[in-house]
Amino acid sequence: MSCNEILPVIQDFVDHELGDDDMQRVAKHMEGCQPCTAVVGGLREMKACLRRHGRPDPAPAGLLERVGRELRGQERGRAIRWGRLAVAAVMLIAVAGLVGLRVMRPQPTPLAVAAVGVHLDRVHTQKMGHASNDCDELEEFFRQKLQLGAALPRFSPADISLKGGCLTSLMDHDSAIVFYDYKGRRATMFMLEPRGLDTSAMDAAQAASVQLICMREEYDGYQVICWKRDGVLFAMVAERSQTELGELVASAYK
Amino acid sequence: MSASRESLLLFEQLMERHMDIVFHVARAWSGDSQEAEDLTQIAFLKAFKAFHRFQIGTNFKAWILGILRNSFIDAKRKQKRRPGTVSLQALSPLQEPEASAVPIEAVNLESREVFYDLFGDEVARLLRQIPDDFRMAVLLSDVEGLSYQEIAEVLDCPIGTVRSRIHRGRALLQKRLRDYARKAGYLREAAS
Repeated sequence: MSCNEILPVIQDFVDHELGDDDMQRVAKHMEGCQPCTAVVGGLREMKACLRRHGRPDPAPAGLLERVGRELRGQERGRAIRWGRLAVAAVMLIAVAGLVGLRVMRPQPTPLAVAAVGVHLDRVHTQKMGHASNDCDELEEFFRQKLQLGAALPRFSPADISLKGGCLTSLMDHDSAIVFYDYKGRRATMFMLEPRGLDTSAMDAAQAASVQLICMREEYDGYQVICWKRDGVLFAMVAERSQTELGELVASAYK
Repeated sequence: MSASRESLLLFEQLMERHMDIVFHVARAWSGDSQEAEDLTQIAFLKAFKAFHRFQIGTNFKAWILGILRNSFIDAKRKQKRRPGTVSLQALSPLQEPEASAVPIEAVNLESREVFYDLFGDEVARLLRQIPDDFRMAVLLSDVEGLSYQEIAEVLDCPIGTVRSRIHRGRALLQKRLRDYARKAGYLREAAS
């Protein structure tokens, strides 16, 4: 390719907008052409300069929360309207004598209900005690704030990343809450000392099955997986299948 | 979990991921942080209302920035403030300058590093002097990293127009940066 052929596509080359073959052809030309290399150099410097200096500060801290609150407010309004319709529908069904039809669903344990509740509450508040992607650092944070000496599980899949943690309360117990990004969705893990909580069923199940995971539950569309290790109770909430979550937790204790 | 709740949670995740870019672009359009916050909020609320029409797996970034652009145009129309100062209407190809009309200069390699390291705040200031159509195309490409196709969707114009605007915008900015450097004595005529 000659310089005359290169110049019209030089911008597309710098912006990676050419196909693979053309990218290679232009790159080959650049190897031996000082004038074209200088033009490309100028464009790249310009782009780098803009990237360095053109990007303003992140969005204000409270903006996400403000818009989220507004969204939820609108959604609640819509839910109330639908709720009224639903009440009317239920009354009609009762009148028609169909009350006897019941859908049997397993009742979730209080732990699952509480864990999902706090997980959702986090979505509302976006509170972060300590943002970190370092397990050691977060463990130290929980050791200082909660006197909780347990180790964080070291999950091995590449598609889970630690985001941070803060302090919370789960069933009136001080608890650590840890946030992850798991395959692009939030996952929340709780760690608490089960003082006063009856975990005998959990202990027995864990002893009998020799399985790490001793409780798998579903509540409100969320999957909750619980396990106990070194005297500390763990509960993880995510919008993933129980199998996926089970494999994830198992990866930490291989 | 109900469909509406699932939809809300998914939307919130997308919103969290795209909040910064939407705010940046809103500020670039409006030139004012407070106005940019309002525009960002309006755009996300509008997007949520229309979220059932959004196809999961397609480009949310281009979609939300397109809504932001429309929100900005609506807001300007309502304000009726100094019409003509903000030109977001896609120029017709005839009005669009030819890509070759303003050549990008080959920069002297020895002076290049010094040249670009001089600028921090100046870049932002000089960038604001570039006409909106060109400036936004350059910002979306070089600062926010959008592809030509994405920019075309956001600005609602053909890819050829995007290419031309980016070329023109960069050339204008480069000229301003060089003029500034010469005036400030950072760049000698001989080095240009």
